[in-house]
Amino acid sequence: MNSLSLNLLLRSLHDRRFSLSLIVLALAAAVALFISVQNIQRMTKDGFENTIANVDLVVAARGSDIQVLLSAVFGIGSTNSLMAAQSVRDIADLPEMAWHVPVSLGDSHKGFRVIGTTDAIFAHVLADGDKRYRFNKLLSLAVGADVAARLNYSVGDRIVLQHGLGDYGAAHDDLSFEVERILQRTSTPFDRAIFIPLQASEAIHRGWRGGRRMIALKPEHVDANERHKEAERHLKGHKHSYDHENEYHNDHDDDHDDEDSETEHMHGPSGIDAVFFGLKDQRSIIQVQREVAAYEAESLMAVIPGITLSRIWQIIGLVDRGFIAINILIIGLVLLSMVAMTVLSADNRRREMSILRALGAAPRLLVGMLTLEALFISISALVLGVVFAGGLSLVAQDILAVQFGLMSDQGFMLSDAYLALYLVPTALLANIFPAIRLYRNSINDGIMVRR
Amino acid sequence: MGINIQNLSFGFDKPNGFSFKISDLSLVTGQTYVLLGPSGSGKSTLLNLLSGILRPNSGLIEIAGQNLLGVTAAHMDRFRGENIGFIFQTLNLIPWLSAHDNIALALAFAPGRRARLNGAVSDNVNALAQSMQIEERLLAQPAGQLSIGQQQRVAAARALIGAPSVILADEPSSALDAANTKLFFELLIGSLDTTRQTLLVVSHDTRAIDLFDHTLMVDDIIENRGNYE
Repeated sequence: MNSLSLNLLLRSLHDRRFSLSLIVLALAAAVALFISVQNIQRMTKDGFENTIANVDLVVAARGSDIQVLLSAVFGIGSTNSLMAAQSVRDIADLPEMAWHVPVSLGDSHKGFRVIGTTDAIFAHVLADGDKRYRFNKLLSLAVGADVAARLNYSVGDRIVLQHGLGDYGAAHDDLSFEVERILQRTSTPFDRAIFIPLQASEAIHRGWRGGRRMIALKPEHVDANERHKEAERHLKGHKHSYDHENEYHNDHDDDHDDEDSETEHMHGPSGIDAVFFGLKDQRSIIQVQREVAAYEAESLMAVIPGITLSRIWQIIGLVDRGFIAINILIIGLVLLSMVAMTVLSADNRRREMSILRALGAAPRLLVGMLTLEALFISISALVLGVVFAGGLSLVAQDILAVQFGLMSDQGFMLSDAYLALYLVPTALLANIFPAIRLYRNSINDGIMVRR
Repeated sequence: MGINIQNLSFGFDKPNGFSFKISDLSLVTGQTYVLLGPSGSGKSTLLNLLSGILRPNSGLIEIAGQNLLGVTAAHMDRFRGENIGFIFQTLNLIPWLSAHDNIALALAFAPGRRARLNGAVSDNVNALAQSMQIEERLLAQPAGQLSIGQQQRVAAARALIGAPSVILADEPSSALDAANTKLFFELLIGSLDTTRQTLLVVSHDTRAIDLFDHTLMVDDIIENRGNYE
């Protein structure tokens, strides 16, 4: 193709700039949609698999690793049984451990689960912006970003927790908690949780038995000044029986009757649902896993969250397959648009092509011009589509985060656009059919151009 | 010899397709010819055969000493660009190109024609425009904005530039009145290099036949016209 025919092509494109712009815009929109779906798919998967990215191990009573994570992290179901406080202390004392975060589950508030935990969860598990936050009072709580958004909570609001997880549980309305912190968004299930001090979790259950409140408490019964003392004591073997509406801690309930008399007076939980651990050196993870499995006093297991979360993702692969199906549809749409665009373009240029052929232009030159045009359109659509997707990602970032809990550290990633690169060879392939048609038409039209 | 046809047989490769034979037709270099005949008599098909867009079943077609039978498609395209200038019935200018660029377009695929120019492309375009009485200001205008008469002359200039051996014109005056038809053919014939160019115009219009050196009747040269068996 010489410079004159290239010039001819450019001027032809310029002449058809309005219709071509529409074609490029339509294709760019399809490309942007494709990239955005890829982006959301990645964010969903990353968000899921990195739910507790900072946690090296989750230790709980032996059972299914999936069950442990589903209950401890996603609030689905429950662990088989509780861990004894002594076990927690023993495991935490292993030399490989850097930090630990016990979590105690069971209560809820307007459908959101309540997690009894320690300050360490803010320092090690939740968002960086909340690293320095500490519970200041025993009856204080921190609410996840989704909870605050849905229930329109702000700092200073007072709320009452509900005993158990269902809607039918009795309220802990003898003690109200003050919202002390709205936590930053983490795009994890923790955004839909409420965090209270572990001691408070224990304290509000004093006087409860068989899912019913036997004694009403007053705030002074849970003196805030005792908080720090309790914090030290809570894992030192004081016995307490948790008593939740759902009665899901079977092991614990087995000895319920024997402990009833003590329950109302003892501080510190007798059991923990799970403990998140951070290691000093991640290379020791397998070693620690073995040590936990070999723990003799209680039957425990250590779950590596990343691996188990990947397994869960594979099991619930419906989401992934849904995304793949959507992407296939979009690719089909792009392909169809590209073929339609090229056929239309060739039809619109039939007269022009016949003139050029009569003037001595070889069919391969005409096909070359058509191919170059398809290349130009596809690359323009690709670049514009990437820009659209980037812009869309920027604009929709907050909506995705607030409405859908989708957030990515990397934000829009160009790597999501790699697949869209296939648009270019697709355009060239789609060009073959109209190019052959064009060649035949130019022969049939001869010098009697019929259009 | 400008154009030489011997024992030409052609038929469209489809049921009931048009077919014909030409035993002998010789057009001499430097001469102008008008081929008269009614619509559907095979005039345009003959032009397609002469331009190499259609291929005959058998026989000889020789233009500027080149036998077109058996040459490759690529060779034929090059040959057509270099040696044949067309004036279409519907003019077929590219409407978004200027008149100047439409004329120069014939050189885009024909380096030999460009090499034959005496001076720059623009100078040659301007000179041809002048001889075809195309005002200079019109050369910069998009062809689509010109009148039919002006477009007719631009189309003729495009066929003439670079002095191809043969000029083929398919009903070029069909949209013109008698006065403009005469003027158009006068300008066209006046712009020919009569030492090396042959002009063949096919038409059913007899208004200007006296301007041509030779008048041919389609019934005299095309035999056995009929459906393809």
